[in-house]
Amino acid sequence: MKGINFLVVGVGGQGTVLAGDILAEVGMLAGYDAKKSDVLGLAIRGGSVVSHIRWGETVGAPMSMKGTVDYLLASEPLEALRQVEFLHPESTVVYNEYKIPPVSVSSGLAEYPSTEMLRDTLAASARRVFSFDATAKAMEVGSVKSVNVLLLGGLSAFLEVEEGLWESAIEKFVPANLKDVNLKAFSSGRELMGQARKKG
Amino acid sequence: MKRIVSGNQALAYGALAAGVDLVAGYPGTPSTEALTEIIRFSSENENAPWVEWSTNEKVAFDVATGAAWSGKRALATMKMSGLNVALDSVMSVAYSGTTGGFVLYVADDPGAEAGMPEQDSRLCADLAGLPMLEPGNVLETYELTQKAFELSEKVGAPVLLRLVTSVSHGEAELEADFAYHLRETTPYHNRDITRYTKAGSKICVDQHADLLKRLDSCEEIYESSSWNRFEILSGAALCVVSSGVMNEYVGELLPAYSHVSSVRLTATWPVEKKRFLPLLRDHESLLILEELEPVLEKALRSQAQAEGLPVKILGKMDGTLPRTGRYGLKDIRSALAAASGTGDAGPAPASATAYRHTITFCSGCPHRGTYMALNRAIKKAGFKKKDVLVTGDIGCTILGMNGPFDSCWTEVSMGSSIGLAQGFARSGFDTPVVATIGDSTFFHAGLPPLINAVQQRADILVIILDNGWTSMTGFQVNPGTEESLQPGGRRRVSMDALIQAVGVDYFEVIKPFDQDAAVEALAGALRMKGVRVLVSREECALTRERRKSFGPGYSIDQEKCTFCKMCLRESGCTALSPVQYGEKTVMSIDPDLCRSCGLCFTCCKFGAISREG
Repeated sequence: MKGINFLVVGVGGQGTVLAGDILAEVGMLAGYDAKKSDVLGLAIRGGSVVSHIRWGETVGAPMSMKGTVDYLLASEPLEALRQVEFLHPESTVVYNEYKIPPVSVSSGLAEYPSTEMLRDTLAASARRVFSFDATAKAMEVGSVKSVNVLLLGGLSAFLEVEEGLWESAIEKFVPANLKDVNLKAFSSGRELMGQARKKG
Repeated sequence: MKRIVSGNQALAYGALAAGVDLVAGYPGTPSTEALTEIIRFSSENENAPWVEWSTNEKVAFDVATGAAWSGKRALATMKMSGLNVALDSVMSVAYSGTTGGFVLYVADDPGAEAGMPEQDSRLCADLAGLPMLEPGNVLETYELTQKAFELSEKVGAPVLLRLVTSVSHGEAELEADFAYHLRETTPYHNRDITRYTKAGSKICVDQHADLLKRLDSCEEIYESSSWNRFEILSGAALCVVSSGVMNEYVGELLPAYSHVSSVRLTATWPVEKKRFLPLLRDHESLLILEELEPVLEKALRSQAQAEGLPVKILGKMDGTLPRTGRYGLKDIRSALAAASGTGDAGPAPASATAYRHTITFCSGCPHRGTYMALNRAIKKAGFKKKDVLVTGDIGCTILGMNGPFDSCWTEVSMGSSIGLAQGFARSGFDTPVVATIGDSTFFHAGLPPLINAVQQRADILVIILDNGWTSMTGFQVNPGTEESLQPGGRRRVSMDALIQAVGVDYFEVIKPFDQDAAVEALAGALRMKGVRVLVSREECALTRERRKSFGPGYSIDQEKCTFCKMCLRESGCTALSPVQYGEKTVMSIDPDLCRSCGLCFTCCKFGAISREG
């Protein structure tokens, strides 16, 4: 059983921790030893949230080493860019194109990196880079809060895990009244990724 | 049952499995969720221990001591900064020992993810002469928490249980029954002033000797347990010695090396001697893997010196490993490569891009209103912002140090803003000195310096930013939380009555979202002399949001917006950002983030901002 290292990143309040929880749960259900570690800093919204998830036969360290993350899932483009040092030449990156400028940018202290620079940097550090406007799609599906589950749907297209396991993990972690919306978001993300891969 | 849990949750369920009778703590990242989990458990189960967020860590430790001295099992929880607050009692109780199982959970934060010093609390185990256990993963945390109670009872000493951030916040599977195993015990306390008081030199020196005996008795227990794993290969030149979470890194990386001995410790204080002796004798070199201070390294260096052994010891003191920060797999891999004389052939990572994330208040946060009002009041009162020194304090309120407020100049420790302000004020600045502090921080350690200010006739303005919760650590209740929101019929303590009873020269309650009145009150208070206390009161936006909606949000008329950016420059609200509107750039408000506080409205001179609906 080959180990897989994931990094799930986003901005506080986007549901990054929840996505990491689901991903760790799926790993466990799929028979892996799964470990997860969140780097939250302070419990304040708007900051970076980084969640390390590791699947393996047996996992030791709770966090991946730089240069060893196989899948980077980002619900915000700049947050993906911050993590390039964790990528390796065989990595896959999936990120949401919807930008949430940090305060340093919105207050004029810094400039948000250009879309080209962002994409080029990620492309130079990984094998495959996929992006789509997951926020718009999540709103279309019914809730902007499901953006991370939608991205997970995208990620699921790369992993050899039964779809039912994803569904039961999602059901376990999202509130009952949001179950349908999240399941819809998941399959919509999976579908989007299928199309993107055909194109790419 | 199998569940993915964090180290903090595993500790909580370990304590419940051990039948803990009383749990007391004070929130502090990364320790908080242990007690939170026990509170959650007790809200769902009738059969549960007494659990409380105490006023501060010293109070929590004292409350737990009372239970432990009644023969009950007690758990106190805190972060390393909190251990310092409790240390006066910890030192004293260490001398007295305990009858009931007494576990003190302390969380250290290598890498200072949550701010504050990179304190190594293993040194407190040495200082207080207490045994310490250091689990390195979820399962060990669950098991060793239970063992810690047994060890405490066996030795007769409180036991320090230390987790670091990567363990307390790290999550993994745990197979357990997640239940409370109540032990039926009758409280007893044998009156013995030679043990439970400190008045008299003979009493204290005798207790000191008792403490050393208790500590000595640990080694034998450690030897007969599986807590410290010695895997010595005959003829190996190198032995890797690690503790706590470092054991996990060694477990992952060591299989790539052949013929290297290893020692993995989870019972880390006192450091075993007997089993280390042959190992120091039979290896050419030892690599010590420990985060923060070279505690283990010093102990082994001193043992090698005492035994006259030439073994080479690699660690922090010779520069093999860094002295600061959290270790990652990369650090350990490099150290192993250096110690074994092999090359470090791992992948070279791409270089990181630096885009700083300034942390700021959430949208709708009342503290934003208070700091905006303070900045406006300083101007209105005729002072220059650069001349008005503001001491900040621990918690969300310190974010006033960042732009666009740039208010707080200092941050030291819980409650210290009020003492610091008095020293600054006595140093001869001819402008007012202001202290800002949150409600929980004020209850925790702000009252004694306020009493001092009144007695000493200090000249300071204290602003208490009262949002009713201990928010930064995840919204715990504190003594000032509204009574209807206190769990289990607990009471609210009136902050206002307390402050007025101290006898301050001026007291007023302001509303941070009522900017005009708040600016007026603050400007007036800045010009006054004596001890002035203003309480700026409005509930935390995130806790309020859980119970009621904020109603319609604000929006910007893009025709009227001149893009002067005053709304952003003054409020720094995260809901505000620039957008393209036809040919021009204008400001806009993200409707998902707007919590209707109206602060941006008070910044706009062009009437472009209004409330919807």
